[in-house]
Amino acid sequence: MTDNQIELIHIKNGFRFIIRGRVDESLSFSSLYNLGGQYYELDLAEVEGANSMGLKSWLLWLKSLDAAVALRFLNCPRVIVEQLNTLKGLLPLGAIVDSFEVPFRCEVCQQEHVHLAKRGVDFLEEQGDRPLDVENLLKKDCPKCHSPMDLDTIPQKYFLFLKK
Amino acid sequence: MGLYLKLWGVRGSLPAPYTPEYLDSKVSHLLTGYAEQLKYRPKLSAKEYLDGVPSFKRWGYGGHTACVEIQSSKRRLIIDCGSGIRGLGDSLCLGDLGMGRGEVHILFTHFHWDHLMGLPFFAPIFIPGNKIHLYAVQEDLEENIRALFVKPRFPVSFSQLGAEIIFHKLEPRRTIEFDDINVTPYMLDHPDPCWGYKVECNGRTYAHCVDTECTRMSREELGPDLELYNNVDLMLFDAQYSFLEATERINWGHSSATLGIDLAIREGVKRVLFVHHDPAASDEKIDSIEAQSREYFGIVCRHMGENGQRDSKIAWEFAREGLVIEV
Repeated sequence: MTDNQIELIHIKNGFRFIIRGRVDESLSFSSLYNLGGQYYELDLAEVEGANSMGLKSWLLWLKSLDAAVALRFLNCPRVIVEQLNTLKGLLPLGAIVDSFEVPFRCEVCQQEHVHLAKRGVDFLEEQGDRPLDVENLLKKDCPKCHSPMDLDTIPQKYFLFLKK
Repeated sequence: MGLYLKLWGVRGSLPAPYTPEYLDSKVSHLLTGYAEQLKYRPKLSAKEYLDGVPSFKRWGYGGHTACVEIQSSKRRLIIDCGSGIRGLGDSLCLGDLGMGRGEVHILFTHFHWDHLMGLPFFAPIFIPGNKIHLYAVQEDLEENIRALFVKPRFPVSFSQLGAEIIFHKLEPRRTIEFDDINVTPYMLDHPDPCWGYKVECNGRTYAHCVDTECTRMSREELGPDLELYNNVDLMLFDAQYSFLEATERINWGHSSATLGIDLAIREGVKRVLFVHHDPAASDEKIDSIEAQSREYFGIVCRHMGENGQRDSKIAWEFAREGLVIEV
């Protein structure tokens, strides 16, 4: 189990925050207030779990950001996707999910695979008149046997956070 | 006899009585549903049909504000005097308190209006011979109670009350005994000082955690007040808001069910009743928050299982007025 922590990396015009371990009451966002910058990336690949106590602190921090800050979520694991779908408002308005994990199952290999879905390649969120597009995600082949895989989740529920 | 609780009021902030229009629509829905079912099951009785209707659609959550009755084999305690206490007072008047031979013990969490407004309508307080014991940690208990009985806000002055009113100052985190019941006050997170109570009786424990925003979430932050939540059999918790609302209404002093669920899982609470429902929330809205919390709980439990942790066995629900429960 990873220690709960946030690593901050300076990038052009802003910061990349690498969040590790569990987003719970032991994870502090207090040092991340008033950092300035116009572009924030949250890399969530190493998030192992989350509860509403941690997500409340997280959301309070995100709400404190200047409205002009561009916010992107990268490498969202399943635990975060599920919470984005359940706790309405967790994804701030205007924030973009760049990539997230999608569970698949290959019936031939009898194995589960996790695919990192990328915005613009595998999906496009609903925006303005543009409808949600996840077509490319529904036809993934097994990386081992190259047979078509089945989505190992309910698409209407799992992709809900990509809708307006 | 064990320890029993009756919830005489579960709304927060302000009573939320059902309007005639709302009741009309509720009854109309029920009758339409029954008529529909009769097409397929002509022998279905009205009672059988109603028993199958979700409780919030059938009778709702109720409109009275905070009042909890606690009953052991030897003693009755009351926590808070929201508008729900009027009905409790009427029922107590059927016994000794109705004849001026009774004694009652009321603990206050704090003095916000929704926890106080029912006291002037608590019938036993007007009957000579009764003894009404009032308890609080706050220094200004007596001042706040006297202020309720002042013209022009209320026609009966404090000195005209028939019963003898006895004030008791509680010490923070110090246990007080009421026969077979021990009560210990612990601090909650509220804009004005507010104290929850841990109630213990014959090995059973009840934690009264209303009103609280749960701003201190970690064990370290809770410090000496962590004990309020530790391994209790039943916890009553403030769930006035949805998760999102709780992040929008900072320093309003109220919480959401998801936070209560997290706390309960971590501290080994066995059962949780969520109360202090928003007066602006319809029964349908409260039900939708419960559904969202149910989904959240499902995710949390599944991840606990996947991580090799023991699945949470806590039982919880959004409570309705009139609910009687054994701790």
